[in-house]
Amino acid sequence: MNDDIVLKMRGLTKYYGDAVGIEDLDLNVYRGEIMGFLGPNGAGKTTTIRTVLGLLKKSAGKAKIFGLDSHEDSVKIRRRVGYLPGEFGMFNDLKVKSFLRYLLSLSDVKSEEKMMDVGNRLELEFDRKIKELSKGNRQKVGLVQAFMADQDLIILDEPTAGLDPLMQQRFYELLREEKDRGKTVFMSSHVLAEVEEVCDRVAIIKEGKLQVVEDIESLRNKVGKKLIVEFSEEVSPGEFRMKGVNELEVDDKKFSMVVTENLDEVIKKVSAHSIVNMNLETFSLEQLFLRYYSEGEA
Amino acid sequence: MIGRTFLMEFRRGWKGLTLFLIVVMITAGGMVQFYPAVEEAMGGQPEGAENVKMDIEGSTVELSWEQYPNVTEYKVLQDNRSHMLTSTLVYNGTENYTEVQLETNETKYFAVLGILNGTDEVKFIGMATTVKTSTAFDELMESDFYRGLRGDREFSMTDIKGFISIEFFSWWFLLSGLYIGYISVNSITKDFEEKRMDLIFSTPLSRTRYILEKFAAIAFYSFIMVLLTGLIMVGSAQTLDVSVDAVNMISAIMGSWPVLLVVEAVAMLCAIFFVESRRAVGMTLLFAFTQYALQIISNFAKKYEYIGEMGILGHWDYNQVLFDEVFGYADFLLLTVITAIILTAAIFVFKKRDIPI
Repeated sequence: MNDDIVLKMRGLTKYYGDAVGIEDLDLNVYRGEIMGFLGPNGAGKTTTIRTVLGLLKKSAGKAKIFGLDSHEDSVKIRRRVGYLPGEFGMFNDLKVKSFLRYLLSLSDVKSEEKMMDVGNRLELEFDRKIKELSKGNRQKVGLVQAFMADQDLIILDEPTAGLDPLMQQRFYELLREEKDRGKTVFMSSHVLAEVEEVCDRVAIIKEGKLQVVEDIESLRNKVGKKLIVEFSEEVSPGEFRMKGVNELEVDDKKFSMVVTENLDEVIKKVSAHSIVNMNLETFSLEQLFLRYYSEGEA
Repeated sequence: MIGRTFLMEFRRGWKGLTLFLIVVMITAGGMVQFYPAVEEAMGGQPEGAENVKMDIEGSTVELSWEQYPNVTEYKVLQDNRSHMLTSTLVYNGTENYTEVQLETNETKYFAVLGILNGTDEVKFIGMATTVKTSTAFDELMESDFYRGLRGDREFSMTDIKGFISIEFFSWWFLLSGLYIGYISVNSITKDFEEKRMDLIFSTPLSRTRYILEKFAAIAFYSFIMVLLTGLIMVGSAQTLDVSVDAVNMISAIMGSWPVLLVVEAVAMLCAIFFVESRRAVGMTLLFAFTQYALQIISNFAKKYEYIGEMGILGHWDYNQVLFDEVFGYADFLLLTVITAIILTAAIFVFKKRDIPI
């Protein structure tokens, strides 16, 4: 299993003077998975990514990529890592193709096949000058450069920022294909729907500290399901005070609760009464995310 | 992969670099073209010197001149400067000769004027001076500023080497050094400010190689600039009826190359340290101006020579090459070593620091 760890962080810490950037992060990213990295602005997502890539000097801890120290072996690592920064500039006076070729040449990659393939799929205009590009098109250039050297690990910081929905879908397709080809992706995002759609696992960071690392399905199970039921008769709330039932709210005959365990028991108790309406819903990642941030821990 | 950053510097900056190169070459070539006019205007004796005979015996100056028709009265004016604006009358009479007693060893200029018969009209007959080579430029050379430029070396602006030394080499460092410092800072800080660093360092480019390739690109450019400037100056002189030693001329200017390399290395260190253009350019220009000031101050007097030795310009003695035909290889080497040390410091700082977003 250790061989399958592509990116490993142990106690990774970055301080900016007295301010905490990230603190004591432990995280594994495994070969062939797409891991989402979630958190609000200022949570430490970009700091984590940039520290892992050696762009920022770590204050403590370790980060290893492909078993190599991310700081001491930074150049070796970058031969195998594609990276899309959250914010980036380019040589505005160059044409898109010239700029991408320059980056390819820095990576010592001769073939332009993948560059052209990804670019065409994202409808990138290679012959336009960079200064003429819209924000979305600049983001496409960033995405193409992250994928074009056919790296084993792709790290993306807010990859769909500025992309229209159609391009977002194409990007998701691209991610799935890369995963099918055994590539590993570590991506930060604000867009919970996209993490839900493409990621296998998710790590949530808050105020520089890792809150949870789970695969999306178990995260949902851990947080539970929301049950809303309206009875036609008076029902005692005490019936539902049992293990696994949280956040019970009663409004006359309408009951609302979050069920994390014993769903079968709860449903049996509900069915013992006459029901007017009932809804059992799974939390979306967005709701999960909000719960983490509004309540601290799920 | 190797050299891509080097080439990109040229690809992106060739317009600005070429423009500056053209300006420098026009200035260097054009400046030489002024030499004959300067020599003719300033290089001879004072105006009308052929009309006034002067003999000096001890502290007595004997002045004589031809009688002029219709002139009934002669006046002789005396001044310490050739402009005669503060002159005093030392003779007024009808004779065509006079004697003047010198009270000090100061330079004296004499102007002989004639008053035309029956009128107030004045005829300028000629000038004479006690200085052997009395030209306006030579007087200028005695000023503090020009003495600072000359160092303790005696030469004349009416000589092509002296002319080029004063009119070109004395300010060449300011022109080229400030420009090289400016572009060196911007070649790095613009990558920070325009947020390109993350993309550049997402590739397997090491920070050491990034700095070295940037440095090499500008070093190569400055070499071409210096060499072309030397060639243009020599070529320009060839079109005149003036003999210059091409090898010496080019060697003299090539000695400025390692000086520019030091400025470049300092600029890159400032760029890495300050990260943003304004402060880094400011510090680099301050460094360059300080070097120039140190050199000028050190040339005022022998006792200040040690100040010049502390600066980099103290190790580029173009006059030694021009006049003595001695190239300072040790200085060249020393400046190269200083460059390497500063550049190593820049790389060290860059490797230790965060790349800001």
